[in-house]
Amino acid sequence: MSIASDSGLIAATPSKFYATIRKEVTEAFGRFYLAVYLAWSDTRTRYRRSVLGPFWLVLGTAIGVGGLGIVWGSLFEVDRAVFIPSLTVGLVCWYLLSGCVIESAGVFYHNRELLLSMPSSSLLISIQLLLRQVVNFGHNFVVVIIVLAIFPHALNWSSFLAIPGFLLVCVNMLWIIQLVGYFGARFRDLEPLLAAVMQPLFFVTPVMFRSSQLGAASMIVEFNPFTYWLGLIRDPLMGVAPSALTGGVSLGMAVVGWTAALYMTGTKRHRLPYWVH
Amino acid sequence: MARIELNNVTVEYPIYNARSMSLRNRLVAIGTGGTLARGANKLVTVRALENVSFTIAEGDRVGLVGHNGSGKSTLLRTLAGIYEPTQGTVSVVGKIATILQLGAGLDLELSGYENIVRMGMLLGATMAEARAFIPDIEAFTELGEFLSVPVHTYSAGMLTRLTFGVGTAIQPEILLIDEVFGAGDEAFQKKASQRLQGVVGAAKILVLASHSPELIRLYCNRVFHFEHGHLIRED
Repeated sequence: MSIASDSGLIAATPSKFYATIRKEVTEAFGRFYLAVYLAWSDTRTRYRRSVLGPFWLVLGTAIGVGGLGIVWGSLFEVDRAVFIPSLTVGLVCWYLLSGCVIESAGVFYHNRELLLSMPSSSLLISIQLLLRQVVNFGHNFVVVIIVLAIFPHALNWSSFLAIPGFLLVCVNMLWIIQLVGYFGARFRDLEPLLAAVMQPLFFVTPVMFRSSQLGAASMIVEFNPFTYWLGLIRDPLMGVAPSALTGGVSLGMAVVGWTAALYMTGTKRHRLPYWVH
Repeated sequence: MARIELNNVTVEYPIYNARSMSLRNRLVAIGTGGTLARGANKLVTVRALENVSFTIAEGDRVGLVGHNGSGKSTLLRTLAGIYEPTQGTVSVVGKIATILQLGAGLDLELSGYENIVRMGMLLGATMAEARAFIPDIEAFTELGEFLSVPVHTYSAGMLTRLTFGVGTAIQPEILLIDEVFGAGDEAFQKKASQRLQGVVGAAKILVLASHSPELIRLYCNRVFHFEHGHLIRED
């Protein structure tokens, strides 16, 4: 291992910028197994604390889906066979999205011991958070499987598009964690702020309703990026291939978001230990 | 060939106070042209190291001595590649292990055994390598049955044994240690000393920051004295 830095102020020179990004990315990919191991050991710890482990979470999800399904189902007089699967998938995806966003602000601060005691890749720390959220998602997905087994009418071949859809969502969540993580390390009040914002955002994201039901007011969901990420996973499971708009917007956000996240990493990585100190 | 070379290294870092770490204050400052929330934007910069130059060759066991805030910990973090120098060059050749913070990388809910693997992997070993450390660390720490119970039940001395055991097990070429010996009884100090001599005996580098003159005498053959971020003398 060799650490050498050029003389002069370390203010972003281009070579320094690219060297930082290269180091972060190669370590994150080269030691991906470490993130997997840590996510796995974290899950095991949660099972150890209580027999049901993360399934307590699933129980919460199941109760939420059951309650909302009955109440909203009768309130709107909709077809339960359509409404309940749509609600379940929507809710489980929403937990993934909001979990990533809310925890992203504190991701580096909560790993400050690591950042301050050994040279580490911040991207690898972000990957670790994403994997933990994916483990939660996997547990919650049990509810989706049960509900889809009861109401399988919508499933068809295009349902398999949910898999690439899910991967594209993960790609998007990772840049959010990385970018917001840097902001959150610098500005500590970002974490409670995000938690406060995500709650109302839930109501303007088509989890409990469909965009088509809104009519003229649908603009509010069209400008909400979560609508598209939700669509990537939910539409296929409802038997509809995601629209080109959904895929395009998600891809576009991934490109723009990753550019911003890598720019942030390249210019601010050397500040990170001081921010979380 | 392990080797450390510092050339006119200066490390400066900003100190953020509660006001400057608040996004709300920052926004208020922008919104009001900065008159209302004065101070949110002003950062105090600390020069923790100034124009430090030295060379450490294989076999050197360096002790860092100085008051609190004299720059010892900053120097160790700079050597580890955690802090980047604002001026000057740092060149480090060799695999580094750090014992800078007691319990860094530990998951208190996991057992001692699981933490050996976890910390070993964090320090750069593969899972198979980290598993292979276990017998050696079992023998060194003498924690016996305690290695099977969660680490949150450990005393400070036991934590020291475990952290120290893992930090030295990965056979680093360069070992950076910050003050973690405080805890641990006399028998442990003796074993730790033997183990360190083993590590250093394999022609590697040790850099140890400590307030204890005995420890420095015991482990080190070079002593750097720091004051206000300057390397004032070596003996």
